[in-house]
Amino acid sequence: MAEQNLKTLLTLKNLNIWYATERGESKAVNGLDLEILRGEIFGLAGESGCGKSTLITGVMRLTKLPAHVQSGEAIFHASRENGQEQVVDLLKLDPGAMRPYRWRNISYIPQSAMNVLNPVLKVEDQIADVIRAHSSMSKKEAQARIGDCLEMVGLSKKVALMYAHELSGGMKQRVTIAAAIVLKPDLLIADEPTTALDVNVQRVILQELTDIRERLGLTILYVTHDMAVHAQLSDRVGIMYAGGIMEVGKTSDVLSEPLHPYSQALVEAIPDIGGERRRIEGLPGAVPSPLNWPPGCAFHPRCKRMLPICQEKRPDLRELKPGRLVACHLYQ
Amino acid sequence: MFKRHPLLKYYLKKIVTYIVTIWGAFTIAFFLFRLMPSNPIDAWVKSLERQYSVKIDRGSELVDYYKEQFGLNGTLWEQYVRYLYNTFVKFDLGPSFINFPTPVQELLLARLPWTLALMGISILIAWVLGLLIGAAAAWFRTSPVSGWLTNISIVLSQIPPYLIAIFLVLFLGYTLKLFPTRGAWDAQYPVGLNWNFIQSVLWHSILPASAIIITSLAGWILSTRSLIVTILGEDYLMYAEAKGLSPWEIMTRYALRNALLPQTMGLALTMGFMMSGQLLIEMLFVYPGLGELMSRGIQVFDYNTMMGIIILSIFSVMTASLIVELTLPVIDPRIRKEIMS
Repeated sequence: MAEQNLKTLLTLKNLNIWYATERGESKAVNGLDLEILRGEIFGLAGESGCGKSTLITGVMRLTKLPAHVQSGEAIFHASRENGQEQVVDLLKLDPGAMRPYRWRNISYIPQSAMNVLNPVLKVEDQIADVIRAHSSMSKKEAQARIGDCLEMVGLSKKVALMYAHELSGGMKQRVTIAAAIVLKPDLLIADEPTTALDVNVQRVILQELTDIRERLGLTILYVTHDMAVHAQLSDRVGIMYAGGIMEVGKTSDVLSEPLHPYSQALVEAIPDIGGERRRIEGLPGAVPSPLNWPPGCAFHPRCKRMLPICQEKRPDLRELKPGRLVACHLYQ
Repeated sequence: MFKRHPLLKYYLKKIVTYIVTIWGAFTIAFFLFRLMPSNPIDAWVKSLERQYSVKIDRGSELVDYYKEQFGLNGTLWEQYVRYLYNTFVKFDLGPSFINFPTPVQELLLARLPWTLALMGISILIAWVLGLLIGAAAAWFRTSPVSGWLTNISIVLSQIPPYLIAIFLVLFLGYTLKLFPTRGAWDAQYPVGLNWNFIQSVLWHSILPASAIIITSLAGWILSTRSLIVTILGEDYLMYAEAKGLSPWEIMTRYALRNALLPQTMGLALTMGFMMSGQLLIEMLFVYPGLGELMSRGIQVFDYNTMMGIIILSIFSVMTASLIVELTLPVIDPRIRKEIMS
């Protein structure tokens, strides 16, 4: 991937997605900024409960009450059929106006494929309906395309005529990948698609995703807490904590030289194969509650290098050097 | 052979179960009736004695003759075997007591169309309406209208149909005199396929049909609503929305389609139970159906007529559930798979 001249595909600005609870607003995504470039695999890393999935449903406009988008922008550069680019704020669209962008521009691989297929429809019918909804392809073309996509993810064309209960977990996950690429969307959002699978299948599917990206030139937003997967797959990686982005950079840079104290602790926790045996140091304290984030930098109560300002002012995500952003007072 | 044809094995098993269950229910019903402390002839003799203050010889030839006519002679075991043989081999249910000597099967055949039409059409209307209203209530479940609809349905579904029927008779029939409250047609029109008669039948069926529709509609609304609300929370519904399908397509092909299966099964079973009739509703409206016949039979210990109706309802309930079980693997791929493996 050429690093220069990449155009922006999606920009999230000061995004807030909150859950209304009886004890107040739970700020799962809290003033998040992020930029995804066309053609890259962007890895979003962060521990469970940091707001990754909430962020995804927000971008896809699938937020269901009590969650709601409080404020923010999601500027998306959608490619249209005439080759032009159309810039829209996804969060400003009303639900009906969002529909044309679904799948045609933004598709999705769910976290668990176990229950996402309609039990009473054949695989083919469930992919064909999305083709029918968003393109003028004939039935024959659609069938051929579905067959191609199934083969691209390592499945036989016969799977098209099967029902969900006839497929294994890995096959279902592949079906969702095939479905996600069938319209060659601008952005493919993958929400931990391999967590439910065993390591072998996981590795093969990651390889397939990489191949598909090369062949179709997709942009992939890949979300997982698994740093090893990011090391293998992502071009750039963003570290998320407490509903915000702490650090962004090329995956190799972030892994070899993490800047934010949280990223440092995260990278520290990855065991080396064949390396010296050592006790992994955990972070002191627990993840703060999204109902009541700490003032200033949300990480300061657990940070070893806390400055006085950290308790008062929230650091902005600033570009430290080209392509390297960090939200930490140590570098500002 | 069964190893290679698990579906055939499944079908055979269901059919054998069907036959055995019908026989079992038949037997239980037969002996339960004979356990009653009287029989039609003794009851009749007693009432004659009371009416005319005479003493009738219980052992007289006349009494024996009628006992034989009704299959009451011999030991209980002999009676059972004879009745079983007559019913299932000769298709003869014996003479009725309330309409002697008309055979019970003729009585049943004359009453059957009325019950079938009234019940069948009412149940079907309630089912279709309940499915549509229930689906809408589930889709708009956050709206206050849906909440009210649900609450009203919960109340209605718990009210017995005859109570609603009484209210309908009182207000719409008796007080407001809007609808007729007795019988199935107006006696002034000749029975047959003429417009006046049909109109009269429809007019007379409005109140009893409404009583049935109102109560069963509420049940269908509630069950459809809860089924679809559950389905709306399924991952595949969210996925369908992410795919950008139209709300109509999501509602029909994804939500309703998955709810249709259990609801169709429910409909088939309800249809089976309708033969036992809404006894009280038919009595209330003096509707010439099976329920009303049953109530008349009970009053005079008419074994044959009662057994006839019981056999008919055993038969229809069992047949309905057999049809459900035989069609399930055809329409649900998951069940087919389960049988095949």
